[in-house]
Amino acid sequence: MAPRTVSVVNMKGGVGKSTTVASLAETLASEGLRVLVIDLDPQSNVSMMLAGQDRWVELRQANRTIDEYFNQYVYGGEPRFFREFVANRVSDIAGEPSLDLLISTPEFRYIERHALEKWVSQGFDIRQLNTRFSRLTHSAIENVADSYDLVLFDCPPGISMFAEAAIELSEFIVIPTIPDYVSRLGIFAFRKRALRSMEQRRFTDDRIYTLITKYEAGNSLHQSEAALLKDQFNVFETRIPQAEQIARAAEWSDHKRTLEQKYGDAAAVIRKFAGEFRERVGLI
Amino acid sequence: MIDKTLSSMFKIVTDEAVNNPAFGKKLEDVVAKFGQELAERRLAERSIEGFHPFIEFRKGTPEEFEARLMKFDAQELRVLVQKHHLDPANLLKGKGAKKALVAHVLEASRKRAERDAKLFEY
Repeated sequence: MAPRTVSVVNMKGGVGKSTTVASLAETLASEGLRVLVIDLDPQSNVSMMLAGQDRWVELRQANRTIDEYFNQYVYGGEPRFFREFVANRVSDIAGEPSLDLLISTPEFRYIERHALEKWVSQGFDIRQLNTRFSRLTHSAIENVADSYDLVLFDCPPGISMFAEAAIELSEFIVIPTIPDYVSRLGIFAFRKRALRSMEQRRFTDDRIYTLITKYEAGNSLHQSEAALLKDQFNVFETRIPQAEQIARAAEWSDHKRTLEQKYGDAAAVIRKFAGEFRERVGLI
Repeated sequence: MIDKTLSSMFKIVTDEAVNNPAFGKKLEDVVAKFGQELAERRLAERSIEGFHPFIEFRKGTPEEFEARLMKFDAQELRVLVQKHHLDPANLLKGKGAKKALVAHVLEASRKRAERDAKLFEY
């Protein structure tokens, strides 16, 4: 059975995209799902969070990165299957959860530029390039389809060609957002693009979800904006709180730990969100 | 550490309030006034709970919305303005008579609804 494909995306930075991907992936994997995270963000945050810096360096030295995967299509060379790039059993959560990862590196930002330069010089127009990026991403997922229940794309802020490809491939889109004015504007800016992609595949906007992040229950601005978001968009009931423990969880631990040890009191909320997510994307 | 510091501080204030009746009375008045204001505010907060002006505005005509606003008292409207940040330039200065407050909330909600509608077209 093909895995569920979900993009976590917002044009705005700092809203908790990578944190959402990492915590969701760890929770679902610890519940027994087979999860693959693909880091499309050159900032490599989710790569560092899930693999830790040491393993990230090892993977980079072994050329097992998303940049190298796409490089072979831009520059040519000995073709390698997508699965060869994927790092198995990442995460510092105890119990060896089935959580795999394709890491990103800061160099990833050059790949898109080089690809564009090369293919445009070969006469491709922007639409054809989009199609090409989508096909490459699609064939990558096909190569590992049997191995996973869920593929999560961590998209960079803004819209890159790779993020576009991920969106076009995804059955569901999750937009993490802080409940404030500018973050809400970020949803409007992105939503139309996502909606177009969904409609092209005969999906409806009920597959585009907003997740409220960094929520402060005592903050009246957050209360007001969260109510407005709920009225205007398809919003998860669970709100991810602003919590020191969630921020601390980003740092790798050399010793395996439970979700509760890693996320502290926030673990219960993260589990609740994971449950809601499973229900909405049909992973029960 | 902080618990000991606070305990020592409150002990000093308590002793002074007991031994100095004028100070004790002054303290009582301030606490009573604060308590009353707080109780009124909490009551107003409860009254407007679940009433989001930008959402409610879209549910009917502006006249209907205005009529609903008129059911709140001035204190409740002031809390509504503050909670939903309807007076970013602080024109009302946290005050305003009921009629002015209703007009202000109505106008802010109308503008917001228009702007949001444009964002959905974007």
